[in-house]
Amino acid sequence: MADAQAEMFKYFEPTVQWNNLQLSNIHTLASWGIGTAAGVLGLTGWNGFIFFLLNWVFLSTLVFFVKCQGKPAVFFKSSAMDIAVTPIMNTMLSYVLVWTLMHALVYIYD
Amino acid sequence: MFLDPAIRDWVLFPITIIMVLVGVFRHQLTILMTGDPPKPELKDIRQGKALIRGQLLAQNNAYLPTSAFIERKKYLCQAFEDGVYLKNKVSKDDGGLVNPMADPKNMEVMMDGMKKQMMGIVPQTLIMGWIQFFFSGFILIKLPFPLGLRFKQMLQSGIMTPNMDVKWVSSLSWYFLNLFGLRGVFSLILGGENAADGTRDMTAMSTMGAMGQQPGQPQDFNKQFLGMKDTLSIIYHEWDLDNIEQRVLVKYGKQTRVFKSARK
Repeated sequence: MADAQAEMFKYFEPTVQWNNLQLSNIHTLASWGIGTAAGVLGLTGWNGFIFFLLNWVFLSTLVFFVKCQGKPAVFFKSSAMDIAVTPIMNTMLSYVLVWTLMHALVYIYD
Repeated sequence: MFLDPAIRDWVLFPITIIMVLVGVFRHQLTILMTGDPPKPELKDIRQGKALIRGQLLAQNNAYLPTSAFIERKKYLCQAFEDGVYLKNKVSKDDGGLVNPMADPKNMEVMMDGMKKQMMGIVPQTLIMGWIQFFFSGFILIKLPFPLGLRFKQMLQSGIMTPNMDVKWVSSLSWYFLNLFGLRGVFSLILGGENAADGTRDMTAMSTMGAMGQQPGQPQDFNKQFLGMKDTLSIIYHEWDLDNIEQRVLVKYGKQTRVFKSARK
């Protein structure tokens, strides 16, 4: 009983939201950068998605070690899952948009 | 195959820019339209807090000495049974739920919700219609990734060539790409809580149908009070600090064991 209450009060809600916002910004900017790279490089099909996943793993590792200093539970409610797994869909959609745009700009238009 | 750069200048960029601007516009408009949240009434708050007080007493009864607990329990149980904290005293006799439609405060909340929904649906529909009207009948862009053949009909809506690769798509698919992909951009520009997200309105629409007519269940506080009274009356109370002086002595070895106090 005391544990459940302690769980409820362990996290100060506004800072948790702020952390999530910062993480989301990191992901958005990174997806724009990686999308541009993929488009300019001319990656198509599965290569594009593999490129995204590789960079995603790299980015998550960076966030884990540099930003969270190896202890994501301090910053986020559901620790490692929150950093790497939950935002992946959203970021992927953004990435696909930028990838399509850049690819078209470089290769499809005269 | 190459496309005319004029398409890029006059279709690709304008669609994206328009969608971003409409999103920002919608966000600002939503902020203007939603007034201040309705001020909660004193009796409403008192009702809720009385229930919470009962819950707290039930949860933390171990921290109180027995006499204190019994006093609080007696007072609260009596108050719950008499309906001292109820908002509408008559509802105790009626035994029925207050009609949610008649409650004026609820009306405002529902109107606000509906207004927000309109703000979401209308611009989306408008932009889709605008794109269909102006930008149909030609290929806009090539997707770098392949899709199944089922999508061909949706994404190449205006073009009558059966053999063209699904990768070449019309402007409507660019609209969809933008719809999903610009969420990140909006959260960058507008901060976390922004009203410019089109897909959130789509999911809200689909859940509204499933939820039914009463989004905010009016709780029958009388029943909850009576339930809380029952909970309180069956608690077996044990004070954590009972015999604490003997326990300390035993811990530091000054006394061999805890003697049961006569008080209990």
